[in-house]
Amino acid sequence: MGKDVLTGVHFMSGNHACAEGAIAAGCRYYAGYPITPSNEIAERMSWRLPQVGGIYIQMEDEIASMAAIVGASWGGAKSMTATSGPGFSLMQENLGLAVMTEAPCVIVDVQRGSPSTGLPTLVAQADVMQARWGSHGDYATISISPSSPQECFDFMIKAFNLAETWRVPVVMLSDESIAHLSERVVIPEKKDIKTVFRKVATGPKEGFLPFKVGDDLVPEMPIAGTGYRVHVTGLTHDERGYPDLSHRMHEQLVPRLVNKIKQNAEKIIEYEEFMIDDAEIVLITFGVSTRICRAVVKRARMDGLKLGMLRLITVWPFPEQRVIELSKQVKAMVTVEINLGQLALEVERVVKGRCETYLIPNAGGEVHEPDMVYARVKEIAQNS
Amino acid sequence: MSEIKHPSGKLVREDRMPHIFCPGCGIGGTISNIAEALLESGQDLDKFTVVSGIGCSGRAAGYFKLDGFHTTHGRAVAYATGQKLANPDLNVIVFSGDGDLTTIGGNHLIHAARRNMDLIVICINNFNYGMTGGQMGGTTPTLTKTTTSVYGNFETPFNVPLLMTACGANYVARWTSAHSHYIKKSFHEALEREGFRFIEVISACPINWGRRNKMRTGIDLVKFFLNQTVVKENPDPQDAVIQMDTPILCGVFADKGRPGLLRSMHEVLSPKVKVEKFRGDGKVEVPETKEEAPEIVSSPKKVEQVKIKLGGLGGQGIALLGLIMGRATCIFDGNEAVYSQEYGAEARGGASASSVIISSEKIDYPYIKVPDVMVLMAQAAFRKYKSEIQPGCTLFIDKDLVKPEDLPEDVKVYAVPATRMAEEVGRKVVANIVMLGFISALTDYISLDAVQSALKMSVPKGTEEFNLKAFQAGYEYGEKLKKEEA
Repeated sequence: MGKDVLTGVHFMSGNHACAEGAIAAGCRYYAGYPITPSNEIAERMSWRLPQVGGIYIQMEDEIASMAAIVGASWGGAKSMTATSGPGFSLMQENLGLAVMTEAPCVIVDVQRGSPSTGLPTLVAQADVMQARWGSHGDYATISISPSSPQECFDFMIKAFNLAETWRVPVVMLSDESIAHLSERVVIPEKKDIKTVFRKVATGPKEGFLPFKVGDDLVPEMPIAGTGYRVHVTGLTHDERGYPDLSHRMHEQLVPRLVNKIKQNAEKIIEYEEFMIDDAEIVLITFGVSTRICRAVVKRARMDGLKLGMLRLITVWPFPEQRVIELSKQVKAMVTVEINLGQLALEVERVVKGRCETYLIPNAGGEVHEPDMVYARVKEIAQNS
Repeated sequence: MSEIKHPSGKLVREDRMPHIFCPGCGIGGTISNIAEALLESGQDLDKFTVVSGIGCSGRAAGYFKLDGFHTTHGRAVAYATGQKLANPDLNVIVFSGDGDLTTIGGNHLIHAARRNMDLIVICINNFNYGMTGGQMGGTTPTLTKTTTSVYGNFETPFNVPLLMTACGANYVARWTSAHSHYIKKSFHEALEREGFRFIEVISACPINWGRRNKMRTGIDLVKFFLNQTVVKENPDPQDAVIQMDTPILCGVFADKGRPGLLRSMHEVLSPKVKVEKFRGDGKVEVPETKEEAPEIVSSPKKVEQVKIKLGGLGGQGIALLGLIMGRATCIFDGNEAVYSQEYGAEARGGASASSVIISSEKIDYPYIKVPDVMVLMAQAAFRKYKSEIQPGCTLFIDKDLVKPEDLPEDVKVYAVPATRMAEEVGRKVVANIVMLGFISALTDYISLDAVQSALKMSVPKGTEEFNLKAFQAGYEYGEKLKKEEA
């Protein structure tokens, strides 16, 4: 006991890998409420965090869980929670608080069939828009989506580093399929894992301005108890953190919070391309659907069909520039996602008719069958 | 203006004056009482934080010259829970209103009291939602008028001290905003204690509540409080409900000396995990242990993709069988494996299955539609998954428990009395391990060493030898069968 990085080769489920990735990233605070299919994350954290001197607390609901991780973040913790669609809905108001008060934290959303109680034990990818727009108002956060247990581990480290760098909540868009697949997970040496901690306030305490920013638009964080005696509020606030309920201040603060992500998008965005150089049709996908699309691309290539794949690692912010470039060189873009067309809306918005756009939807419950996707792709190839 | 100093100026943000509170409101006075008590306490005030929710009282966090957090409606207690556990060196004070704490935030309040969370909560109770214009809420006395109970409130209010006492709060007191001295005294008492400490302050709201109930000014309300209040030693919280025609009972309703959450957490966890401190900000030195996981295999064994489905009844260890195969492949053979379990309500009763795909190459599609190999340990599983058995499939079955009927052509069946053999070894539960040995003898996609290593790491400590014996029995049975076939 006492080891925070379990260096070596493991055979691990996606949910367990999320928990280990979080601990390796330096997370020592978990607050959550049980919900299928995310429970194995909470279970492993309740077992592992005490071993490394961290805190696992089971809250009374998801509203409390989200509030607690924002409070913990301001208390100096790398904090997280994990949930699924219904719980994620309950977290949205306090996710907005994290955005407004710039509290770094990570929320794992293990997506399941929805809406409402839907399919608690079966896969979906239908929280794409909830991850982007679930809380009220204009804001921007980061969402990343793993396609294997190894990526669950690796991306949790990425998620914490992004949250800490940009002082935003980061949503890890996992899904029931990845959560419950077990595969090889290689955990590197602790010294080879790069972790980031937020810029903390170091300047003089008198007259300190907790929400003053430089070029990167990210303020220094005066962690609670370090003597800065700051006021932090979900109200529109000035650089002192004091409420300023005016159009003028709102016009400064909200665009700054959005631009923090927008302006730094190139530093944040990551994607993976497969067989894309000469592709005439590109599949756009993320999460578990990446695996299906990769299988389809391999088969298409064996048949001589020029198919490629753009797989989003950061679902939000959306890689607009890359999609625009690709839209100029391909005949068609086909979005493959386990919902009825959410990311596809973003693809259409960005492509603006430069190439044809299609959707291969799936209401959820099972991942796409490669045969079905391939058949549809062949139809598209014939028509375009 | 600059000559006028607030008497507790060291702890009040003078640069935020004038405050938003109405003339006659009790909140400002209570903030002063707490500020004075804090200054008297002699403690390091950098280590105090104030957390508020939404509402008039929720603005308190913005007036204390401390780290102050103005959060969302009802969630101050949950937020504060996070902050305190992240950094237990902090003294976290929640200062908020009745609607915020007891009504919209009621769930957090009762659970924080139950877990005896180490927080001090100051609950300003002014009987209504003042910030939004004076609507009724969970603490509005029966028959009183508000903007949403214009005919008089027909509901019964919470008896807040009774609620908090019943939920397990360590310290529960109630005063009115006319009782400065008692508020300060209670706050000092709260500071000396741990766990959940709750102080209710019945507070004047002349503009939104008093005005509609024949008490138009702050003075009217203070008079009402002083006339109506009965301060008692050890008052019974059962008698603390507030109605307009009965006394407002004040005093200390509970002072229990229960250990706070952090102490309870330490007492339970520390001996188990041998760690001295628990905190969320990572500032804990934990001795590193030497347990090492296996290293990466440098030259993996080459294997074509094989899809194995394992079916049986709950308790037969089907899931473990699949996991051992996956572990053997990934960790010890250096190949790829994907393991999944049927995961759904249907898995709770009757037959269930797990799947393992093994390959030298990366596995894209992680599920099995047509298995190459099927391992069946129960007739119910055979019935359930029979339709998936296609020509070319290899079947491993427990000879005594599975009677395959109407199989397609070209299906090879290997049968072993796994459960019976397990009983002979000593325990029926190792039938799955007998089966594993049997499969290992007749297939070559996982090396023997790898299976045995994975088996050892997957069974409870101390049962390794016993399990290996079961494995060996199955293996030998398989070897014998192989020779007979040859």
